[in-house]
Order: sequence, then C-alpha cells, then structure tokens
Amino acid sequence: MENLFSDLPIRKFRKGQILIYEGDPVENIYLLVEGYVKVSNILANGSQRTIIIYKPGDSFPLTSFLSGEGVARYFYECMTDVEAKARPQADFQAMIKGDLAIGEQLITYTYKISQQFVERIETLSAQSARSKVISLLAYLAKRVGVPEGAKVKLNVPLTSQEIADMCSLTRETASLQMIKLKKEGVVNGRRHLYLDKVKLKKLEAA
Amino acid sequence: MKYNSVMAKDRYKIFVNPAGFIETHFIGNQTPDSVIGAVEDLVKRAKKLKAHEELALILVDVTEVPKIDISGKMAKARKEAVKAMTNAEYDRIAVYGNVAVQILVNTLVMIAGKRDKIRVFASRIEALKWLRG
Repeated sequence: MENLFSDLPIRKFRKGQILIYEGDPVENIYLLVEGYVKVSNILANGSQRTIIIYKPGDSFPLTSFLSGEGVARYFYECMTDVEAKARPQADFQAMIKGDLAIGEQLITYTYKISQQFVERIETLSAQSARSKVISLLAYLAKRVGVPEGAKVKLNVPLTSQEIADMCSLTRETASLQMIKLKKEGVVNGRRHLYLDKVKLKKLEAA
Repeated sequence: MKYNSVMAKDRYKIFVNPAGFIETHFIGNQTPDSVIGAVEDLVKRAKKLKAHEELALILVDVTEVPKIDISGKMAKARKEAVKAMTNAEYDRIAVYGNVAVQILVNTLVMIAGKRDKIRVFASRIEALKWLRG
C-alpha cells in the first residue's frame, strides 16, 4: 500500500483539523504516516459518534472510494498532530489500472476496514453502557495498543469526551463506567490509558 | 470435474429478462468454479448479441450471496472476471449488492479500466435506471 504513495511529499495537519467532511466528494486518498485520525458522524440528536481510529500505515477513505459512492460517508478528524501523504483519486485510479496485485491488496485491506466499521456500529447500537465501554477498550487495545508487560498502553491520548463519543454515551455515563473499571483494576492512567490484558479479556468474554 | 461444474451451476442463474437484457443472479456462497462458469456464460451470451448487432446489456444481482470470499482461493476467479471485463464485447454492465460487493467489484472494474461501462449499485432500481440509460 505504501508503494502507492512513495513519491509524494509529507503534509502536516494540526490536531483537531478535519481532513474530510461528511458528504464531500472523495478528492484525495490519504496514507497516514504519523499520528491518529478518527472517523465519526453526527447523529440525529446532534451528538458525535466516533466509529474507528486510523493509525500510521492506514489509508483512507478507501471504503467510500472503492464502493463507488464518490462521497465521504464520515468526518475524518486529526486526533493528534498528523503527517500524511495525499494522492488525488484520479491518479490513484490510474495507478490501479492493469495492476491485479495492487488490486488484491486493496480488496483485502478495504474489506478488513469495512468489517471493522460493521463490528463497531453493531457494538454501538445494541449494548449496555458497561458493555459498550468494555468493547471499546478491547477494540482500542487491538487497534492502537502497545504491549507493556501484563498491560497494554493505548498510544493515542483520549479525553473523557472522546471516550464518550466512541461509545455513543454521554460524558457522564462513560466517565462513571471508566471509574468503575479503574476500581476493578482493568484500566489505569489518565490521558494515556493502560489496560490489564487478562482482566479485559475476562470481561469481554463474560 | 463434472460434479464441480454441476455444483457451480447451482450457484448462479442466467436468463434473458423480458425487457431484453441479460440477467444474472448469484445465489449462495460462491466458488471459483461458479464465478468462472458464470463469467464464461455471460461472455458467450453477450458475444452472440453483438454478433446480431444488438445491445449487450447485463444486470448482475449479488444480493443473495451471504458472504463475499476475498481469500486467495478466489484469486483465479477475480483474475478471470477482470480479463472478461477488459476483453469481452458488451455495452454496459450494472451490478448490485451490499457494500462488500461494491468494494470488490469496483476495485476489479478499476483494474480493468472500465468505469464507463460497468457500474455497481446498492439497489436494483438504481442499477436498472443506469443500465437502461
């Protein structure tokens, strides 16, 4: 995947900057080099719902681009300062033409990402507040976690509001669940969270 | 081999819609044999129509395929599909199915460089509207 961007310069974006707005035509395909980007939408009640997080090495918005919709279905916002490469979609399309090997890689990668969207949306829509927070932590451990002994450190700094947005909960409800999980020893730390792998796995299976 | 081709034929049906276009339905999870069989059949039918100087329009329904297999097992089928998209004689192909189908087929269409002649949609209504021009 990175070969498709190797000739491009790195562009820098500030934390909080929105790279793509929901409903915008897909003009560029990005490769994330450094930092984290969250993908979210706005619900009918006005609250924000964060669905997935992209990490270095990821490329977006491939699901919108390859599904043929032509417009982005979500907002793509920098969670940290970001370094990325951007290739105009017409150029990207030209590079794929005639190259079955690249096509196979794109199909595999995009299918995995779209499965993540489906799983996260299912998790967000049909569970208790506690289950939503546990599912989110398990997702984050897999997606942006770095093993540190018996714990996993989440490499992306998270505010209470961001955790709430990723669970489709109010900040108060999400904070209450996080306090309970901290008391149980599943989570510790403040902005960079540390998760107890064994305890989290048990809760996830329960 | 005979057993395989019989099983493969159970997984798709191809017929001429009363409106005059070729219609294909994929039914159930697909195998390399079933996809390649359907592609070969469609190529033959489209060629026949073009030989009579008729429009070769094809509608493909993938909504009844529960799981899209993107594994290496299906790589040969994807290769044959791209080859047919590139070389076969046809005017337009409209495919409809879920997001996984849309991603898969659109990527193959981009590899074949045939976005002007093949489009993928979420619903039959949209697909028919584009197919009929």
